[in-house]
Amino acid sequence: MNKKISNKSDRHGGKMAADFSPAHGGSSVQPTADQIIRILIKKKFQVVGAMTIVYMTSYVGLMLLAGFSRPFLSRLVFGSVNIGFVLIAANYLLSWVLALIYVKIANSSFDPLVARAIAAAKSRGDA
Amino acid sequence: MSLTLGIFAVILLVTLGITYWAAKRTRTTHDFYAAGSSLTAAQNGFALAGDWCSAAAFLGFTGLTALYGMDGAFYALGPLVAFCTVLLLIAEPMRNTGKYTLGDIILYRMRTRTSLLAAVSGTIVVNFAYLMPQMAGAGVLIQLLTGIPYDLAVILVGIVMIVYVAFGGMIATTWVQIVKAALMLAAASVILFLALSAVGFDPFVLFSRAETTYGSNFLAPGNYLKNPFDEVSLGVGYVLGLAGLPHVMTRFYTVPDAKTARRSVVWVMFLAGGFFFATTLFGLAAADFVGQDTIRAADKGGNLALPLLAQYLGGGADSLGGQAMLGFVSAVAVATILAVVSALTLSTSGAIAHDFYVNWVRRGRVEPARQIVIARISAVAIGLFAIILGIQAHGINVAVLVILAICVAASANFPILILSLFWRRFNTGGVVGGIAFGLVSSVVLAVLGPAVRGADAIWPLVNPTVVSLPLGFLGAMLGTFLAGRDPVNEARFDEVTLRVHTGITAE
Repeated sequence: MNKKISNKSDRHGGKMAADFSPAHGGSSVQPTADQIIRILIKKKFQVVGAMTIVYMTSYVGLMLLAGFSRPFLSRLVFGSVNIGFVLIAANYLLSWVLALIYVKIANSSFDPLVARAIAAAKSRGDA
Repeated sequence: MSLTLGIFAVILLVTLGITYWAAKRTRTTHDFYAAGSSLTAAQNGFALAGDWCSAAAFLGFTGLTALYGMDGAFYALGPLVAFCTVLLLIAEPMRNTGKYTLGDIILYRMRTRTSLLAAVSGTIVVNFAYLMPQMAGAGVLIQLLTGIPYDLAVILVGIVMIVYVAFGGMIATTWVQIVKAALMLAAASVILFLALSAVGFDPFVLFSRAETTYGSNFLAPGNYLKNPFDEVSLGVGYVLGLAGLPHVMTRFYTVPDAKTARRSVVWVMFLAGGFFFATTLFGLAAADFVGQDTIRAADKGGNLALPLLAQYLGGGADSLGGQAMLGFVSAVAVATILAVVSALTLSTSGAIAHDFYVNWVRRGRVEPARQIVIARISAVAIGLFAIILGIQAHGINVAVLVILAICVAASANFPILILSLFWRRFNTGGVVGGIAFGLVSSVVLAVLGPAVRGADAIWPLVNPTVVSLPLGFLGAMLGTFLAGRDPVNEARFDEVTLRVHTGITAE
């Protein structure tokens, strides 16, 4: 699933580069800060949205099971450890993994766009 | 007892030394409220871990797991998941948009005095609802751990907290948090190592021994939270409430940029998350080694499970090792409370001195040099008020206030923050509607619920977030639509968006 997200954002990144690269039309078609931000928001929405759905489903789902499906969570998996504790551990892992993936995507994909938006806003301000 | 006091005296001396050092470096309001935005990601990560790990987390999670099994583990998991919300939605926009407080963001977005006032009221209710039980908890715990009488303990905590905040501002508060977090993690590492070595480094043994002693039902959900909706409400309250706690949000102003804010959340997720994970094992170990009866005999709520476990692992009550471990964990618990009440006082000072007095009453027309004086005076006043509240709270069930704090944070602060940052049509009417609906529904439902009325509860849930949070969002939307369109505000949203995502102001 995360693979898919990053592919998607790469595609947008590629599209943006094609649309707005300076080589395409010189300085006259430099994108404005607002245009770059719109692309950034689209990307963020996909990544943050997907991740939010994943962790909320996983965690709220576990709490729903804890409330309404107690026998299921009490079923033993190995030794004296039941499904509930396995899912709790899985939620810890998921939170950590999502955090690391998010930072990776933000560093490689959001930050360059932010830098470009700032540069665009500043160059317009200077002009 | 005397060993606890001795160790605590050392911690106190170190933190007062830090405060002296911090006071000399606190020259501007930016230093006072935001430590000059000069912290690194690791420093802020440690401080965030300190902020979030109140005594309820440090002692409570272990105690709940020791007495109630899996429900205690849910309490520990919630705050880690909550940091996903903070990481994905809050940390970077906070850093980019605000200066010192939540009120800054609302004022910047709406540019109306009414919206600022609404935001301030949300912050103040949450902070005092959180501060009062912390002060009461400090009194109870210090009395239990050291024998100092309740009232005196509350007064002492209040005085030290005032000294930290009024003199050292955010720089001192941050470093007190860092010291405390480091001590807490050190204590947890030692306890974890000893507990695991007692079971041959096989954590599953802890589960099987718990099952053998207390039956398989002990490890099942629902031992603490009987009402199914309470489990869900706890989850929702945690995951969105943490993101609305003002003293946690303001931590993101202490770093220089959004990238550092982001990295500091990852730090706290591994530091505090690892600690929360360990508390589940501590709880099982305490139930096994110390025994539930001994834990209950020491404190009904289970708050002494961790110190007792430390004592057992150190070699028992009669050994030097046992006394040293007990003393160390108890001293860290006291330091924990002290650090959290300081952060709450500082954040409340931001809402009262910076948002309310400087920006609302005086419309921002206050000399910078005077602003910092006002900030310090307000910190002293808030501290004194907190001492009075703490003494008043003696013997009252303050658990409802903790629930209320998280519930209002999730139901009032969180909706208006999110909508301010991301919804173009959101307006002053929406801010007022969101705060009013979120605040009133939280307070009314908490007061009608079992936490206050016990068996006579009119409303079934201890934690009303599952209802009040949607009401908060509903109020925010109703307010927005009823107030009608505000073209100027909506047109400005492009500028707001640029700042939310980049931190720059476009003109």
